[in-house]
Amino acid sequence: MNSGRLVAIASALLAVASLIIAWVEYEGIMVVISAFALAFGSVASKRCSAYMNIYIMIAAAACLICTILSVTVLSQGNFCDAEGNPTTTWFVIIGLVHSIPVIPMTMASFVIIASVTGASYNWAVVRGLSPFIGMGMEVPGFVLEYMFEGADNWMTDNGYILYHFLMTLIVMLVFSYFSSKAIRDHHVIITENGVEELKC
Amino acid sequence: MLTAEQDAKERRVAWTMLVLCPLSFLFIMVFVIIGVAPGLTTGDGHPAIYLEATCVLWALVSMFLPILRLLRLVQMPPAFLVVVYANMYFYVISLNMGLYLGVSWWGDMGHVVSSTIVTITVFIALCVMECRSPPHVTFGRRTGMVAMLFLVALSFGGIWEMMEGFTDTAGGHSYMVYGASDTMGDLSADLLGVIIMCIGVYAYLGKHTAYDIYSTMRFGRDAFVVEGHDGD
Repeated sequence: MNSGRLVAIASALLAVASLIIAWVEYEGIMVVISAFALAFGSVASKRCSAYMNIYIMIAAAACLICTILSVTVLSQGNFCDAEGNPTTTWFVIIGLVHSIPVIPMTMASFVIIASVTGASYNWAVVRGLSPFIGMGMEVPGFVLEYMFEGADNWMTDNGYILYHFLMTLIVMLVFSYFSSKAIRDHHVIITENGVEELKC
Repeated sequence: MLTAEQDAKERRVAWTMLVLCPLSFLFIMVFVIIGVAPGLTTGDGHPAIYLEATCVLWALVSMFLPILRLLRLVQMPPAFLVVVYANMYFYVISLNMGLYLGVSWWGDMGHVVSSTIVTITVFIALCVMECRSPPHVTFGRRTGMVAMLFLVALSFGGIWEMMEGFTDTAGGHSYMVYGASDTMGDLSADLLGVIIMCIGVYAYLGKHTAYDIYSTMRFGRDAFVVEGHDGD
């Protein structure tokens, strides 16, 4: 078995483990991010370079770590006030933790879409669209939590949703600035072959 | 190049929109001021200040595109203008009629409708990016355009909910958000709207290209040079 296949299998195992833990613990957002990791890993194993497969394996590992953190030390129960309500501190922390795996997933989404559709993106596209892609990836997660919790069993506070999006937006704005700057400074573009030097 | 007749027609339409749209939103506000808008009393009732602020805000927003056209900066496709302005009236009239409070599914339907409009807007933006970017930048085949459209358009549901939440925080009242259930329901409706529109865009791109959309609009002063004039 070659190393590329091993990386793809490891990536899939990490993503599946993250997905199962998130599903069992009703972590809707991490379910969706893990599903993205699994899907991207699957496509990357067939169409992308070894470097990209390693990148997605690291992203899947980040998913698993953040899922475990979300359901253990950073779970809602550990950040309640005297009345048992979740605090703003928790909204911010959990928003940040959930945003961490979104960063590599956003970059992976450019490469994966490019590899499947023949697209190519420069630094301006990465800077302009990254914050939206990152936030967009989380929306199905909230919908999943809506399905998990039902209409009458609201474990989730509205502040959780709002601060969560705010944290993701801030994280993605910072990420998009630095990633696009790196792409521009190194004179590269994202294509179906991964990151390529711009020849002009 | 723009013909003189076409330019005159577009300017007439822009002036008409610039005058009539804000006035019509302010006319709706009159019903709130005199206390007969059903939205004030349906269910728990919306606060008058919220309904009035909504009318004023949308009156201002409705002036944006006509002003851009009159300044010779942007001309959007007529069909797009119809859809966007219809959605503005749908929202403001529904709110003032109390439909968001009186009809259980109205809010969700409103979010599906608005979400489709937002997705159309994002699609147009992506078409512009595709056509104005350097040759080495492209969204690829239609699946690439639709995948990017899906991810980007989805985010606006979250951005809207953030705006709602922080409006309430700033105002100190629950004007726009009625709890997590409402927000989650809105996001689900947004997802549905985006999916519907992405399917539509995928079908559209089977027979058309991004350039077909781009060619129906004009950007920048150079695009507004009228035939027979030197541009000033």
